[in-house]
Amino acid sequence: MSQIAAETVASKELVDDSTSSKKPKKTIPLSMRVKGWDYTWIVLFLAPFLLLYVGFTIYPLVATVWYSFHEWNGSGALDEFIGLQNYLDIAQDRSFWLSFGNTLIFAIVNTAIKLPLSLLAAIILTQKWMWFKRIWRTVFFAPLVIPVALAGLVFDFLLNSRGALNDVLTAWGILERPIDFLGTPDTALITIILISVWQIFGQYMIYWMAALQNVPESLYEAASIDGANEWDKLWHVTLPVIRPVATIILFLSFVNALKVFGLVAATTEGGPGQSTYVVSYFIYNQAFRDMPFRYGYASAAAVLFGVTVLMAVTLQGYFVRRAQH
Amino acid sequence: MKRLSIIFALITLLTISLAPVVAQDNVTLRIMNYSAEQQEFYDAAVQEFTAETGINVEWETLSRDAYEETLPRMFDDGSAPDIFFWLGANRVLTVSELIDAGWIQPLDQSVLPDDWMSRWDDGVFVNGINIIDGEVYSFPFNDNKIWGAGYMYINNQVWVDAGLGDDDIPVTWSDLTAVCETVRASGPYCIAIPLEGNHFQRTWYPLAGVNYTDQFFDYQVGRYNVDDPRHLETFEYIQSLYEADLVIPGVNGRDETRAAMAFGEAAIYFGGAWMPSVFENTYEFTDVTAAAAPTPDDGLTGSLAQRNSENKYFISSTSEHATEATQFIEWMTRPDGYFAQNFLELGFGTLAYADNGAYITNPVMLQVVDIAMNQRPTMRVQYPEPAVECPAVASSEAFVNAENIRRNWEWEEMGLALTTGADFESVAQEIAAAKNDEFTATIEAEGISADCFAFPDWDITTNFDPAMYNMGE
Repeated sequence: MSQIAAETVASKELVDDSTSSKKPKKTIPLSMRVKGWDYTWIVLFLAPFLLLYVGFTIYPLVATVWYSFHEWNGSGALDEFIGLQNYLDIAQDRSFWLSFGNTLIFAIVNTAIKLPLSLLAAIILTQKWMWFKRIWRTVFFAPLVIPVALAGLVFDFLLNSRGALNDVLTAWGILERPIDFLGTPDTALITIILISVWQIFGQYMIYWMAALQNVPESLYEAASIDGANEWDKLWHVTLPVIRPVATIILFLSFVNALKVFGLVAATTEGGPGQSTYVVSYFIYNQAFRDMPFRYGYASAAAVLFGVTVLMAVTLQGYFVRRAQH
Repeated sequence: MKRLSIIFALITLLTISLAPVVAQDNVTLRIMNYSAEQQEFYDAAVQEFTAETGINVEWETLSRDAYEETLPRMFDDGSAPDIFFWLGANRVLTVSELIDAGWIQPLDQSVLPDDWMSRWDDGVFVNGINIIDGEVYSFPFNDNKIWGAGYMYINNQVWVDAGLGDDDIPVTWSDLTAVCETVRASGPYCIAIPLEGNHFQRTWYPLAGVNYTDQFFDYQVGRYNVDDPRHLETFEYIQSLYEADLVIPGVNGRDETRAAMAFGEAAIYFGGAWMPSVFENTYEFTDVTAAAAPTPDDGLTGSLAQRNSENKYFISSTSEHATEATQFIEWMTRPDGYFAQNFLELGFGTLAYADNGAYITNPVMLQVVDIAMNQRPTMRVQYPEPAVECPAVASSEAFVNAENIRRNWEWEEMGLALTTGADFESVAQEIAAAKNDEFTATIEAEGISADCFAFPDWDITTNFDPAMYNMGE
């Protein structure tokens, strides 16, 4: 929520910057802006953040890259440098590429379902005529506070071949035989996607609501005077105005979905076969689960995956800038 | 007052000077494993040990998944317990794996009685397996004649409700199909089979072990063998049970299937010798019968592998109390000691260093003992160990590299074929070919002869005779 709000403000500032950038801007040198003790204070105030950033972001990143050049099981000396061998092995590892493909499918389909649905819910919940808004917001937001492991367990019970959903579907004659939704290769991945949408839906709905509340009321009034109906207002006022934020929400959603792990671990463990094998689960298995542990190999997979996410984030920046213009 | 001050000062000095001695006496060992249902017994056992030795012990149990995820992290942050339980990827070479991982240190032999090793059968302490460079790193915990996979458990109530009796316990695969049809006709499913992760092995081992072997590597010919016609025959038989709707459908986990059987949703569960304890302690379910796994219609033509695979407890490399830890292991492995007697009486399993028949009281566990020792004495036979034949095998990467092509490959594909009804043969051929190629390439690069892995003169239904080792010649 705060991230979106901040990015909204930032995008507005960027728009303002872009309009004012027609005139060349005079840059005041740092030495003129900061004087005397100010340097000390700046360093002092930045130090805790920098320390945490270096310790918990930069160091693990660099260490992961370094580990990826080693044959290492995660314990003991890091003394078997093998260069790019882990990367060469991963390039030929069908399980990795299959999990990579599954992860992309998960992220794309999850985003394609989640965003329009949550936008629709947000639009409805921001209408003046809507009753019990707070209750609806709570209802949609509630799944988000349920731990992933618990959600996985609940859906495992609901969706297995002897679960409640199958009981209902077979009792109504919709299904002839029960389907193990999480245990059938054709349905397992889409089922996990839908569970994920159910769980995260409320969060994106709140994002959209924040974006919608930033649309000036005067634009709607003007549109009404011009004879626009609700549909016209949505297409010609709401969506164009929220487009920069929508781009950010889209990529946040996509990047977050790429990191899917908990639901897979809690429901299918990557199965049946490798139908729901995703990259994070692949990395986890290689590094921590199957003996002998392959920490170096898992690090190489993490680096490759990280580069993909980084590309997505970079694309996000590009599209945000385009949307703002 | 002055005198009082002097006395106080003296007491303080004395206390400070004795502090290290007191601290030494207050050693607290930490032990961890994942038999959570046995926690009460461990608590009582460590009290006995403390009463005898003055050494405190905290024995912590977790669920298996949590344990396997937590322990490596404990080694990373230096908080590993003094003694821990672990099963390696290659269980015979667990000691080598853990030495490579830097997790273990040898037992302190100075506190072990001279005849300590005589508590076990001859030949279980082997160089390259549990002895490395003359140091003992572990010991066989469970006996592996009785202990291990391979048993069929029947829910008596479901059985009776289906109109079946003791005489109907299936002996052959055809019998099994027939009784399963009867059970299914009465309502419940016949068999609960776990397919999640690699848990299909719990059903696979008993049924593959009566037809051929439970291993995916054939030690007669020295090759990966999931494509062997005998394995394929076993798989097709299990698949036929699915096709006939006799097995609880879907991909279920280990605990779900156990619970399904215990709560009467299915009549049969295939599992290891530990199941009587698991049923009783986890599900309070005792109305169960243990039976030998049904064989193919032409009789018993295979065996389960009895390997030097029970080296399960280790002293962690980070422990500063190796001597006390070894003392505990010595106490724990007394054949007639508190630990052995109560462990067996409570039906938690069988032990490699005790007279199992003397102390087991659990009636289902006694059935298990009877199956392994009397009814079907060759259900599990001693397999050859390539590492004994050729010591270089202990450090070979051949098996690891072959497994690393895709871990759990056989289990995942079997599970997939069972849920979809797909043909498994072509996949099995692909798996075997890929693993054999990698295996051969690795041993060639390592300069290890393929003969180290092949024992053509050995009959897989009989105990391997150590005299048949060529010792690398």
